[in-house]
Amino acid sequence: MRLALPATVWVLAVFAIPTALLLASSVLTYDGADVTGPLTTANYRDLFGNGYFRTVLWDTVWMSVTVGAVCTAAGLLVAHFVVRSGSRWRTAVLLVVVSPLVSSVVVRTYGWLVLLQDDGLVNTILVETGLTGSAVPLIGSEFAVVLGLVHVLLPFAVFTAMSSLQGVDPVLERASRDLGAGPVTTFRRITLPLILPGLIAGFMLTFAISLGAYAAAAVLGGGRVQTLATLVRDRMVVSLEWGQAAAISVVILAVGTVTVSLLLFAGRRARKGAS
Amino acid sequence: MTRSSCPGVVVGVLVLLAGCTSTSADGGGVLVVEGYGAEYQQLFEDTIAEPFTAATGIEIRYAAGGSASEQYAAVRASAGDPGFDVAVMTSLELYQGSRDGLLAEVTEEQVPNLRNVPGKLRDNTYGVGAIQDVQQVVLMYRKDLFPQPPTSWDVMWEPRYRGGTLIFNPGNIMGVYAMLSAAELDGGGIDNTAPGFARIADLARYALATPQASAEAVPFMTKKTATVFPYLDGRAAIYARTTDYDYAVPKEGTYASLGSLGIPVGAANKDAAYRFIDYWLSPEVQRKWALAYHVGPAVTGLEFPPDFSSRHITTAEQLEKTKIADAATVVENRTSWGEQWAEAVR
Repeated sequence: MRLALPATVWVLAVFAIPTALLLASSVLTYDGADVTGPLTTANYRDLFGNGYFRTVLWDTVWMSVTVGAVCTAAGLLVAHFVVRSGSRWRTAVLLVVVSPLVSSVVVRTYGWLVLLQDDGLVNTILVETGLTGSAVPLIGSEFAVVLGLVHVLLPFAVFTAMSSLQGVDPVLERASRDLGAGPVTTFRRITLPLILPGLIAGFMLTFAISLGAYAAAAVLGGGRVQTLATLVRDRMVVSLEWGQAAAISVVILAVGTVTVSLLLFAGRRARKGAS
Repeated sequence: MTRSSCPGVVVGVLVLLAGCTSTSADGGGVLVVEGYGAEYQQLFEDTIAEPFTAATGIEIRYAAGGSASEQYAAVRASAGDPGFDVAVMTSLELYQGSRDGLLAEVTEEQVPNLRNVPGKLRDNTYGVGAIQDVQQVVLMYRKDLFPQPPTSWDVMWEPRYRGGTLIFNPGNIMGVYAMLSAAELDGGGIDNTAPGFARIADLARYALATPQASAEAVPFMTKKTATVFPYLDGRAAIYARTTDYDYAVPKEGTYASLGSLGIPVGAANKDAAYRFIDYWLSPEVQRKWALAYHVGPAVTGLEFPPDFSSRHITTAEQLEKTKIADAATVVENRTSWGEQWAEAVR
């Protein structure tokens, strides 16, 4: 009980109070920098009545789902290689995957900016190999933003998948193979159900971080790709509409919370099914 | 801790706090100025800060922040006490500071050199700051593509040039002025921006990039991939010397961006801030700054070399011809313009 007190204080200080302040800011009426009027839902009504905001909301959710799916799939492949293969390259592969974590997200994102430019490495390869006749405008596309986010977030998906795979006894897979199942069937019928909660956790993590990620959209979006996070920055800094900025932040929080709750529920069902 | 060691600790803390106050060793004080980074910072240090300290004994601590709007956002987030005494921004932030009551009043009593500033510029300070330089939006063009300097904003839509244009985001005020100039080509203007966004949507299908910061244009100049695009004359003059580009003012005329100085209401060293603004507005410093930063001065009637005068706003006549967008209208519409711009370039 004694130990619960510091934890409770910590959660209140760094999570509950800031979230409450954020919620309050989204329903306050501002006149310039001053809070003047009564509580209002006008910020939310203005947002959801605005077609542009709905487009940005959809784009952000769609990109986050894509990032989550790609990270989960790629993370599973990497984790399977690292955990199950006997290759001597396992450590090297793991180091390559983890390496993005040791540099700043801004540096990594600017690295992609260099690679994806019209005369960058990616376009040079595309043109030199004849895959495209001329440089493809990658900067300023959703593809660039998704790519930058996948690079940043892949280690999270790899670690959660690795942890799940390490919890699966290889004897179960060997037994399946001994009983005549092929590798695909073994994976689908034995391994996948057992690691599904871990995969869902990896998806949840990468999806939730993508929802509020700013640097990749701001730098690789080239001004053409707007996400909820860049919209918050514009409302905060350029147009100084703090009530709307807070409302957009609450929307990010709400979308993340609802999705994570649904996935937690699905994960629990999957765990029950597997056991 | 023993009882006898407490006084020692207290003295130590007091000594540390004394070192953090705004009084320098020679008693002149410390003025914290928040401004732009990169080449601006170096020019500021050489042309303004060091001579000011030499003349007054007031030390300047310069903090390179972000854009003007980011600096004003800091003023607003801190309710007028952001930790700096003077912010370098634009007249739009002065308007917002006046509206919010977060920038201190600046009058002729506090800043005597304000009387040298023309009324057209003083009208855009809203009583809460000073304008220290005048930039204008120009057409930056690649010299080998244009035997003669381009004469109209319309050149950006010509098929042979449109693939190398840059469409600035209206989060950068230059993007707003470029959009207004585009609107005016088809009979629009600040109260009817639809033609401007129609032109941006048309150009976006071909444009090279949609930058937010003016520094983002530099790689396109060094690699010579940009053809013609709007730019501010200060930076344009710098890169006209170091790249294969030059700049011109189109026949339709152009908009001015007014460099401004504002003092947050909670500034710790307001007296030094007023002295600093007065120093910057003195004719000699105005001339030095204009020549160093390649911008027009805030006071007219100064002598400049003819080639400089022809390319920057240095006379009362030039200033009279230059358009200044109404700050209230820009501030009121910036969110909507930002959204329309984003839809247009998608």
